[in-house]
Amino acid sequence: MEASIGLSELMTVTCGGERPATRARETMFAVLALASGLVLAAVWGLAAGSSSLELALADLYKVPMVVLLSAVTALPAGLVTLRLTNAKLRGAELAGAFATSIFGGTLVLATLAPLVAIYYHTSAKAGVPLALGSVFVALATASLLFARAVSRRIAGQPRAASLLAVVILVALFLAALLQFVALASPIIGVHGTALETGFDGLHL
Amino acid sequence: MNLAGHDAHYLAAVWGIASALGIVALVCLALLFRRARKTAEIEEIERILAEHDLQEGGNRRDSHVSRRHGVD
Repeated sequence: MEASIGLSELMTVTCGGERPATRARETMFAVLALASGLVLAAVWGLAAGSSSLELALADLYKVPMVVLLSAVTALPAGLVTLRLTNAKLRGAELAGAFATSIFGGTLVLATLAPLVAIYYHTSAKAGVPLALGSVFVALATASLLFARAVSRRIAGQPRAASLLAVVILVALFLAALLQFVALASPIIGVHGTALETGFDGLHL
Repeated sequence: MNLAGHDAHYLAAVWGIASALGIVALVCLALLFRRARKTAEIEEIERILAEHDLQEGGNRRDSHVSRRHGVD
């Protein structure tokens, strides 16, 4: 075992493989997963903003920053929930699972980025819906990966408290994401989308 | 862009502050990674030394000075 971490090792952990042996390595994994996730989010940002060079360059910075700020906003609530419910899961484990799920979600975003870019330039009907759709697919993937990672970490122990922290963390991440997207708009297309008006734009 | 009745200038300032906090978070993550890597390296060295000790079967391990110069 070396002190360095490879991308394949990161993929293995994200897909539910063998976890790092020590706490220090788990922290390294979490930080590396988040950093890799931000790079992958930037790739999607480049595709989503490819309608103009200026927007593409802005999205290279905006999209990773929106993901990072949403994660930083949501994480404390998850950690507080863990403490208040006396969950068996440690805070570092929750943060690690959260980071790897962000990596998984942004991996989906980056995978769909070429499709988003080509449709954005060749279809007036499907371009923006596809870009938005890729975001929802990525969010669903990340949420499922997060729930699975936490479930594996607490296998054989009471799950309710830890899974409550997961639900709260995901809910707060989505709430924060909605407003940060609005604040950073336009992200998709020069004129923005319905999501870029924030919570006030939702017809509830 | 108009969020909660604020104008674009105000929202740009809010985004600027949020971005600055994001950059601070990135720096903290970099420091955390550096610290964790150092700890992981130390743990790895300790593990190798412990394995070495086990292989020697409890024999006294020479210091690096005695190994190089033949004296202790």
